[in-house]
Amino acid sequence: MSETSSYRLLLAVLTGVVAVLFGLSLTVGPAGIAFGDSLKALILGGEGDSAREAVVLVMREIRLPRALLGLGIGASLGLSGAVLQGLLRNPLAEPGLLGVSASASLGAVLAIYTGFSALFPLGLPLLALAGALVAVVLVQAMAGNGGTLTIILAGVAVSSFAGAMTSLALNLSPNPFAALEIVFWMLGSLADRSMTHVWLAGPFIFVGCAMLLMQGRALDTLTLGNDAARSLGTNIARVRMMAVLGTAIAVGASTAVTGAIGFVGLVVPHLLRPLVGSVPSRLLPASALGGGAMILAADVAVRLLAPGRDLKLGVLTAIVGAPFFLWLVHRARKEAA
Amino acid sequence: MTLLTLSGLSVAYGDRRVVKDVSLTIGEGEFVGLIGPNGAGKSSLLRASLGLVEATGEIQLNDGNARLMSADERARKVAYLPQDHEIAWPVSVRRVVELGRMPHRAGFWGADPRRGEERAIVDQAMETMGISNLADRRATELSGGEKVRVLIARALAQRAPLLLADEPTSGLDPAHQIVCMETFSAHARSGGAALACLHDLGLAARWCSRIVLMREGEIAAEGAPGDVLTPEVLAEVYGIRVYMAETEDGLVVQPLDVVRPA
Repeated sequence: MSETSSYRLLLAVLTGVVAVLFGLSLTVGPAGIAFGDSLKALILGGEGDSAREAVVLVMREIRLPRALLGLGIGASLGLSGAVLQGLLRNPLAEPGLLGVSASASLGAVLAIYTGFSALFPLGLPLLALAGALVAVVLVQAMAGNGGTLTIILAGVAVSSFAGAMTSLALNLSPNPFAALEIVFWMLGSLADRSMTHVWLAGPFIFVGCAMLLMQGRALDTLTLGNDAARSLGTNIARVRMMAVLGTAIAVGASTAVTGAIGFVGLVVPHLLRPLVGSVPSRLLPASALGGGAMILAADVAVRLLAPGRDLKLGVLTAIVGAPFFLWLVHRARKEAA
Repeated sequence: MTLLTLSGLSVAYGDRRVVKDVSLTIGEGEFVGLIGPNGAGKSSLLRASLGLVEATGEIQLNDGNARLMSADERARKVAYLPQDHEIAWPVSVRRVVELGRMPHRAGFWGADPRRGEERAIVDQAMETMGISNLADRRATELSGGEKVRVLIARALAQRAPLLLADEPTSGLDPAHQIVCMETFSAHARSGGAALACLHDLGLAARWCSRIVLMREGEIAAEGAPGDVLTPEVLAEVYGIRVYMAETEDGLVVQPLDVVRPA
């Protein structure tokens, strides 16, 4: 099979997997609604019948936003991981590297700490989004026209500072409940999100992902290094800005509504790279689908593994992701030897 | 027609001026060897011609101001082979060569480099460098020499009239050094031009139509190989003693020993 047809097959398979997981995410939950009933309620609605109306409410206001957010957030994480790895030509790059996740978390923590989140339901995601945007402006300003390394260093600096401020907020937290709320929020979860969250994060995720997807050609030329890429007509400064901004917008909005979810942006591009012949442009759509599939699967898993216990999504991705990453490192070492 | 005209080109890194007020013209059919000791400013001159480093002075490509051209337009006029042979991901050799077609692909997706004429150009570039049999191999798993040939093929696939190369023969065995020089020479004869930084004086003497000798950021000598590569000039600039002979195959230059540390 040629490289191109196997790539098309991979995209088709990933799309199928995403569709199945999306359906599962809609039909798994504590309400115990039968598979057929749930889909019927979602699509047809249920005017006049009070029992059906409850089902419709669960489907449209609880499960649908949860599945949509899972898909969008997973796509943002997978895609931005793939773009950053291509840009920095480093397989260890991931969205957290830019300080976006840490700063969005800081914004959210401040919202909880100050009580702003209790006053106004969108206070938390809006402050988190603001945190992400401040981070990207800082990183861009600090990196200036410098190279790739300065971006990483600026990201690390912003990330550490945001982490330190988050610790300070925990440290000075007025009461244990606020501290607990902060910690729980930081673990990352898709539970109890509404369509309002979808409308808040959706446009940002869409715009950010579009900016990231457009960088494929430029990332291909970057395979040969900065100078060769520029001699092939690639505007490196522009690619870098689009990658950083796109990541900040998409991942910032994601973190704003779910909290920090680790490892997806790192592991998904890794896993898919060999399946696309390592071509950076082809890795982008594949990683977006793969990230969506991974988050949807993890979110279904937290509901099945510990129903009623509210196992956090971010905890599960880290528990599964870290050993998996170790295995990848082990395999890479064996290949190198 | 002139393909590259540099007038009063200067490059500075901070306070250190590495290229000082250099003027140089390269016309169709020329294969120019840029030689000079380490740190003479050869690489900086090439990179400045491509707009990869900030420079003052004029840079003209095909009689057009290079600074006013779009990046794609410039990439269709001049191809560049950097000194480092980076290939970051284990992509196939064909993929690497296809990257040379990037500046010719208009729009978001552009022409498919695997079909029709585009594919023929890529195939021909691989054929020229003798790497057709490597097309499906991973580029990161090749030997150093194979990798250099793949990257030269990538530059050829760009089909730009002017070819700038930074030490293209380093890492190649003698046979492939000759193939490389022959390729550049053929590119020049077929109406293009090439400018290559070279450390191997023997290769420069044998293949280049003109030699430009740089020292401390300036052009110290320029002309036909026989006029520039003289024992006196090489002793003066490199501090070496050379063996030279005029043979049926052209000028032979072989460095012998250092007469004073350069």
